[in-house]
Amino acid sequence: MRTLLLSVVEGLLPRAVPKSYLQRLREYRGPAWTFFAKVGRLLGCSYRAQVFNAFDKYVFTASMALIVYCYGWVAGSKAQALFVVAGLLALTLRDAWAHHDPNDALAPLAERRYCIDSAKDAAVVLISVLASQALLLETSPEIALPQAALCRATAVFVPLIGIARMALRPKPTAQFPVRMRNLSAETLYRRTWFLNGLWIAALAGVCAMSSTGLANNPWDFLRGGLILPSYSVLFAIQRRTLLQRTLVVTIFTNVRKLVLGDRKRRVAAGLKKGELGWRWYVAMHIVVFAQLLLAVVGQLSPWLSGEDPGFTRPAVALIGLAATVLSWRHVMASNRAAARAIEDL
Amino acid sequence: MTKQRMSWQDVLDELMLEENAPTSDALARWQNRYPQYRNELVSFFESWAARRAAAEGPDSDPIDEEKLSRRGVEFAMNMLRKQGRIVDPVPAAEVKPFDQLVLTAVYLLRGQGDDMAITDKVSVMQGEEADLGAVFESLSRLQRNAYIRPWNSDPKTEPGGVSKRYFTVMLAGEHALAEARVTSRVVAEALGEFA
Repeated sequence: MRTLLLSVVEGLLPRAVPKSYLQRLREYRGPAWTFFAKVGRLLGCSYRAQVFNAFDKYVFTASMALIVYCYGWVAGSKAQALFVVAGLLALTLRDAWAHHDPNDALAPLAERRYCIDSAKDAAVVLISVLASQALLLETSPEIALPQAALCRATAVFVPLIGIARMALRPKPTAQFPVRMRNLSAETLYRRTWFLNGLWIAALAGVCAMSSTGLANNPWDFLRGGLILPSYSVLFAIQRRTLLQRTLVVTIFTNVRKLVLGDRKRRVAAGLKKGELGWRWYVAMHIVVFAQLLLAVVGQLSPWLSGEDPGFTRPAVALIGLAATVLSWRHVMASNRAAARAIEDL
Repeated sequence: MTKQRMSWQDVLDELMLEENAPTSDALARWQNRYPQYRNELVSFFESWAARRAAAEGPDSDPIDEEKLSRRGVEFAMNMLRKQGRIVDPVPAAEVKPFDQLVLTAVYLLRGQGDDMAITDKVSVMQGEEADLGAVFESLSRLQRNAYIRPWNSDPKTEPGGVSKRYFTVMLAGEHALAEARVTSRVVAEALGEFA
């Protein structure tokens, strides 16, 4: 009986709890009621501690906003409140179970584990939503969601929550792939610029998709016309080309070093907190990603409200959102690596 | 030297020798004397008057040395705080009694205490078996408040070949412990000659 219970508890205990706790419980030979109390206390205390450790205000706010946005179109206030509570409760418990300190340099988690965890988060919240719907159908069928509306909202919600948690979950800084560390500075520079170009194209593509097609529409101009200038500002803040321009060539100048040094200033190597222009850097990030989100919302809303039955545009918007948001860290890492490679010459 | 031949520099030299202040009478007098430099004289008197007013008037932008030094000290203190060299004193009331016991156990084990060793030490100190869940929660809380820090051992040095998590007290933890020693008899007895 105790062995069976402990094997269940082993799966339920948060990942951060060391195995030695279970071992101590296995070795316990006291009365059964004390044993059950110990197991219960360990589960309760470890979850309570991990809920505090795992809480992240950005992830929590984004999760809540997504549930409200996706199910708000089709659910009444009571049903929506139930979905929000059930979804957030499930995610909180899931976070407590899966939490891993990203700053733990001694036991780092592989990048793919964060992605798998985020996909599992989406599955967990899907189960909680379906359970809430089942509960509503049992207790108050009049406020339960119609099947078609539930499917529409869920089809958008599950990928969105996965993307949001993958992007916002605290992670260690992206590392540059080892296999690319042998490349020359020039090759790295060229590939980084190619990557930057692809990213900008994807961003502009997602934003352009949301245009209405009406002539002289100011919203179209705002959505499509502002994205490239704002990205350019974000890029220019990081380059600092105005601070140094030293292309003076003498007979003793190492031209390769000089040209690469100038190229380094054309790479968006990112800024650290406290550096010159940090606030503008953060503000422009918000502006760029807000435009991207507005464009995606423009694609998803007709589908969620049932106005547009075609799923092609929302699907492409979701793929575009995932590609741009999730690759951003790697684009930045690539820029940093290119700048470092040039500097190390 | 005739008036017509005099250069603007000569006029200025003469003006500085004769006049003490940039008055309007003086300007009119010099404009009559050298009408060919009428506009230059107006500009010169203007700038002279402005410079004199700035020199005689109250200091519009005084250097607040006290403020500057205060900011400098504040900046340096912030840097030291970030580096962990300065820790704000923690009132003992903020550290719960059980957390004080766990902190004491971590301190007494001198960085060689894993979760179970700490649990055993706490059990000895409080005279009854410590709850595993409570110890885990307390360690988590102390870690969150930067009183203790975990470190993982090298698996090669461990008996089962599996890395273990040990805890060590940080500077903030030592401050909290010093406060706790004053207020808690159990902590004071346990620490004994250590602290």
